Amino acid sequence: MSVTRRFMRHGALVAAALAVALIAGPRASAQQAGIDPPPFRWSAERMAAMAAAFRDDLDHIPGEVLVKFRPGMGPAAQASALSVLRGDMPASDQHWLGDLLLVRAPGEPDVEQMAARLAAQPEVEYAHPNYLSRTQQAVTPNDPFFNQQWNFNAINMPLAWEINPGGSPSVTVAVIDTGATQAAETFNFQLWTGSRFETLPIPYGVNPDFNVTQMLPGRDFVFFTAGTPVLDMVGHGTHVAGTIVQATNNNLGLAGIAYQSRFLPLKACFGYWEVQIVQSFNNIPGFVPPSNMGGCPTSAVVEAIRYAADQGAHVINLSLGGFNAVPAYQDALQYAVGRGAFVAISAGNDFESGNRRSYPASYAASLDGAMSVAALGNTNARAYYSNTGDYVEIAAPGGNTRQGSAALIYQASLSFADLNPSTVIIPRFDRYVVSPSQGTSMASPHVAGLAALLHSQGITSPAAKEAAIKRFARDLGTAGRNNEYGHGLIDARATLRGLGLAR
Amino acid sequence: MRYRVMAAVVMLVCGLATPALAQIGILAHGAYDRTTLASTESFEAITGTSSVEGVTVGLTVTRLWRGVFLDVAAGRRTLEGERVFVHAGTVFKLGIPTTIEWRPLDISAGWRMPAGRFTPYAGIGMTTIAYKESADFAQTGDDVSETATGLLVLGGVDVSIWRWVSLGGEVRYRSVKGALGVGGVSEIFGEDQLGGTSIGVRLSISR
Repeated sequence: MSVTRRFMRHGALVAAALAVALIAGPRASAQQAGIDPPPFRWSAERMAAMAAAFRDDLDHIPGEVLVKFRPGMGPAAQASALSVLRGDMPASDQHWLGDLLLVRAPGEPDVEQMAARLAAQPEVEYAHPNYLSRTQQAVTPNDPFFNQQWNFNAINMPLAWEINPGGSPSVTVAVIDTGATQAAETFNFQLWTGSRFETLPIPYGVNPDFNVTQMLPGRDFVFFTAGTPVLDMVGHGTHVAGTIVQATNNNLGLAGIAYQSRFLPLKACFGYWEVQIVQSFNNIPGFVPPSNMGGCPTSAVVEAIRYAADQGAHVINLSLGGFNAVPAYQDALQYAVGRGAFVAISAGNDFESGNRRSYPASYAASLDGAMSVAALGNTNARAYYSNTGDYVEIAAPGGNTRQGSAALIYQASLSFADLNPSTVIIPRFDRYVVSPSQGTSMASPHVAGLAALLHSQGITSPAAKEAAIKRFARDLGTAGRNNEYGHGLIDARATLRGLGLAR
Repeated sequence: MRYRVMAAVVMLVCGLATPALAQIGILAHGAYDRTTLASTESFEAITGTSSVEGVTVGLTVTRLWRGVFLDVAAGRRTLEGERVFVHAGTVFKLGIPTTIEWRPLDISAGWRMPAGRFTPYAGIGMTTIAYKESADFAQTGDDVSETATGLLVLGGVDVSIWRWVSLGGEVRYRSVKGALGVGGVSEIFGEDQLGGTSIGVRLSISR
């Protein structure tokens, strides 16, 4: 069973050290009393499965399979297909995600064999393990720097904002990621502190450079059962969202491309702290290995994509991916595009580690209305980590450490010093700093932001958004579409200005 | 430059006609016409219409030799619209105001055939169309200002209604290929024609 951790090595979260210009959220003292958290979405049993995934470095959640039945299969036919699994299949172990069934069969020792058995049933269209994708943010340096958003100049944003200053609140952008904290709250979590469990107040804060009036109530698909509140304990989702909707012209922090858009944070990925908290809650002593930085279960991502589409999101950003071809992703993307949502997807950070195809990005190439996005450094050359392949459709700034710290992508995000699992036992998630990062994770939201601006200007069809972004991209590399840059670097001004009669 | 060339042509023709100078007539005319632009889809995408109305004025030198005439006419049409994006046949308007100015300058020669109060005529010549397109948020090189020359065919009839005054109808067909179609929506629609057909009512005064 192949296992991949490369995305996490590249994607080893957030900026280690931050630099300059702290955008601090409300300070909560360690002694401050907190409130009890809502119930966790993951049961102790499922948590154990997750812990096993980390321990064994798996690319899927043990005992979980996603099944799609052929059209017209009723409950009896479905039950017949599921009867090939060991033991009883109580309803509590079945969870429908649209037309996809998430099946939990903890008694099954080999999930791939379990999926194969199900897939062989005549009632089943496909079945595969509940794979873990990774956020696709690359390692960032520790050096402190001054804020420089060269990436916006690279795509002609200043001139584009003259045409369309930040889009419109009538446009909704969903960011499916590690979340973006929506509650300035302190929760009492039981945590392992080295020798015992302690219930400690853990503070959370909202990024002060987000306009809270534009944040729609988000949803948590991995941590809290109730789906709320959405809390980012990684910083990835906050950084990605910042590129799209960070408040602009507010004399604070940094800018975002479509800063007037409404923003729907959907938490489908988790990191070290979510696992540590749930593990401690379940009285499992010890620390999760710091190298295990979490992931994005296919089930959660698929559910989030469908949820975003059902909530009327016009644009969805997916800065995540994995190496497993998952038809459920394809179905979910088709569902979302079919409901009018444009989807931007990071193309992957694996170029120097085998350049394996990344999913769901690979599905974007054959779907008008979804685009896979490669990353560039500040010389408009492909970043060293950015995947190449026939599925790369477009390029955007993603940062490149090899071109120096000035070539990174800066947005406000959580202070890594507050949550670094190598040094922190009691984290806090209420302080925000200017955070440098790189990765196709950073490139994708540039395309999502541009799509949001296009929507506010009247290009409502996802396929038309894709066509416009391609048409006005600046050709890079070999002439025409190529596997490094796709159709080239996005040009926000040219795209928003569109076509005249003669030119 | 093109005006100077046309003036020179007019003077040359007049010069050739010197022997008959004593018989020539001058006819000033103005027409209110409706022009249907040949690049229909392109103009409709940007301006919402491919037809535009306006006045064309001109001067005709008649009886250069028998019924031969030489005519010079000019017009100016302005269309307002907005920039767009076109995908799969759907036009998405982007809300960026655009102004198009279309100015034909026609020079033609032909034959007038007076028959009582009616004087039908037909001619052929060349038209030079000045095309300007400007839009908000333009940078250097974004706006368009070009001229292109092509074929002109015209015909009509003047009906004498009072002494020197005639009222009639006229058709002008202009074919100017290659002026469009290399960018913008005209490239998408594969339309390269800057010309069109004008049909109008014309008032002329002669002496």
